[in-house]
Amino acid sequence: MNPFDLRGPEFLVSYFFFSAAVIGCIILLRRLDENRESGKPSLDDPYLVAYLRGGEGEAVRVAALSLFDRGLLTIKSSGSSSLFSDGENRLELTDARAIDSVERPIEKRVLEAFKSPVPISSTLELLENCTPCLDYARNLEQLGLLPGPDTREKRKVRKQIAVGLLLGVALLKIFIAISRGRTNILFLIVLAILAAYVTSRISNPFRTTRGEKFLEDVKCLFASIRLRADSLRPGGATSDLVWLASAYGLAAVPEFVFPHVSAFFPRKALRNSGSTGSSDSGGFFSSCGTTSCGGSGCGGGGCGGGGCGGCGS
Amino acid sequence: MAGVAAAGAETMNAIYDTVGIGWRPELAAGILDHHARIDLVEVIADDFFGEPRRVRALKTLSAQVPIALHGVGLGLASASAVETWRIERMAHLVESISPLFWSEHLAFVRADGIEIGHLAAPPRSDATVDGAAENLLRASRIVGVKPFMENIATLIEPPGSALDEASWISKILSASDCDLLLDLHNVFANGLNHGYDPKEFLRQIPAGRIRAIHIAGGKLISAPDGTQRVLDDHLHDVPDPVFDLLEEAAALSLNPLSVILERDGSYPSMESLLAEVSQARQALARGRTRRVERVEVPDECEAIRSFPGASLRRCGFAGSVQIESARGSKECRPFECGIEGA
Repeated sequence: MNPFDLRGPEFLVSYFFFSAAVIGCIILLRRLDENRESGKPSLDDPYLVAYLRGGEGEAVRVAALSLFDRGLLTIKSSGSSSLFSDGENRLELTDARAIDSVERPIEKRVLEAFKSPVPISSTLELLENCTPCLDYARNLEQLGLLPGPDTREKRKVRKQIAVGLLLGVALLKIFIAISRGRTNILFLIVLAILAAYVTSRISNPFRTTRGEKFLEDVKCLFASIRLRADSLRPGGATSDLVWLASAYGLAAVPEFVFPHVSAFFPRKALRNSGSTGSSDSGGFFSSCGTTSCGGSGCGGGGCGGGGCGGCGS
Repeated sequence: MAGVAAAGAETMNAIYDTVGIGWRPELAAGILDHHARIDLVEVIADDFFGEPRRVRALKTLSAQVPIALHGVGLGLASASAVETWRIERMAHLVESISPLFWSEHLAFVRADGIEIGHLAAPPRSDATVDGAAENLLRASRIVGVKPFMENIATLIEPPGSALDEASWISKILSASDCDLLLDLHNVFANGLNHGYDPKEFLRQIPAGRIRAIHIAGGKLISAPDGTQRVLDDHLHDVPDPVFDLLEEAAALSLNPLSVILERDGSYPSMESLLAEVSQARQALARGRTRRVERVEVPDECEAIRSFPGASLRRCGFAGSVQIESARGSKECRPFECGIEGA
């Protein structure tokens, strides 16, 4: 039976399943293609993880928060405005010698940017294209955690083929319908546009499949920090804060423990969600995304679990 | 002809011994920040059974730092057979992670289907020796690798015992051909609790079977009869006598030793834990110095040994080094020539 001979409603149902199959194929092919081992990512740099989770903006924000927590940066209020009012907060280096005391290039770059009191959000936005950020991007691409030029090209080709298929089938049916004197094609047009849009969206995610898995693993390893977030100590005594912010986002940092954390949120997010942020697996406020470790996976006891079976072991 | 070179403690440690920390989620950030100063981490295997997502995360962790698996729930030292499915879970994890080694306790944790929720010492008798050996042979067969078995601490002597602890452990290890994970705080605690000399205990167990070592801290508690007992709670710093025992074990053993610092709560700063790791290295070095008189080095390695900063490191079967102990016993060990840190 020729599917193009199906009546309108039946064809719409068939087209729906056809679209789902095409989208499924896109996802499957991407997973197969982007799951290859290409070097072992190191877990000794939280900013690499922050970049992987939320891009360059997250890396510089987490770095600034960490430096502030360690007392290397201080927040200055601007005039009579509130310390926490959007766009008015200023950050300043506490001691010029701190620039030489930090090891990571991204921390040096952030400290240099705040030699004099400057607004936090706009300065951090300017830092997003700094050299250390580009190094992180390059490193993550080489490790296969972010899509490199080859991967992006493959994604583009797959997307073009998929969208072409979806629109081509729809156009052919529309042509046949019109040639047979039918005009009830609106639903098909809407469905075809919707399918093409969804295909475009899912074809080019921020991370590769391997990157998604690595980020899930990191979240799993640091799940305990998130569970203990309320009891973390400010002041840079441990690296728990920087790992919490890197793996789960600034929104996972409790404001009542770190009262200035909202000053480091991006302006867009502040406008959208007040001072607490929201959950977005790929964005600035990533916590446990849809494929991450909530629920019964790793969120419960954390990776590594508890003790040694009690006394006597 | 092999050359002969004196070997200092540092050289010997560079060859064999490793020191690490028990992985606990609370210590994750600290361990990963300082993994260059930690040779290995020991992970509680039971936390990963039936958790594929966690196992994958564990693989990611193993790419950062070598991992040893430590089981707490098999209850191998029992007169009854351990269920095959329990051993198979361990086998699956060992296969997935490829750890440096896996270990379990010389204890039972359930009886007649009832979970005790604790590592309990069975009666030290021939029956439990036979049962444990049978379980260990099965576990070794199913997992494909023999476990290192850990001695446990007890506040009271197990009722119905006919053997002393050292004999009981030695018999099980001999019958199963398994090696020992020697928990030195447990030795220290049992020595104090049951009135024997821990160092004498070390001399009674087969030193050639010691492969890994646990160090930990506990606290004194009062027994109902008013006497003091040591509780092995892993919540306190490692006491000096345990480091002394570590030195003693290093002096007795010819094996490369993997030492794990255990801490299950009341976590101090990471720097404090790393200081204990450092203390463990020093204790090992002291023990090795006492043991080693000379190391015979094949000619092909002489050139490398004379290179400034050179040492031997064990990472293959490219050659062998003969170690002669203070007591005159000799043992050959595989090694590969290398320049440490070059």
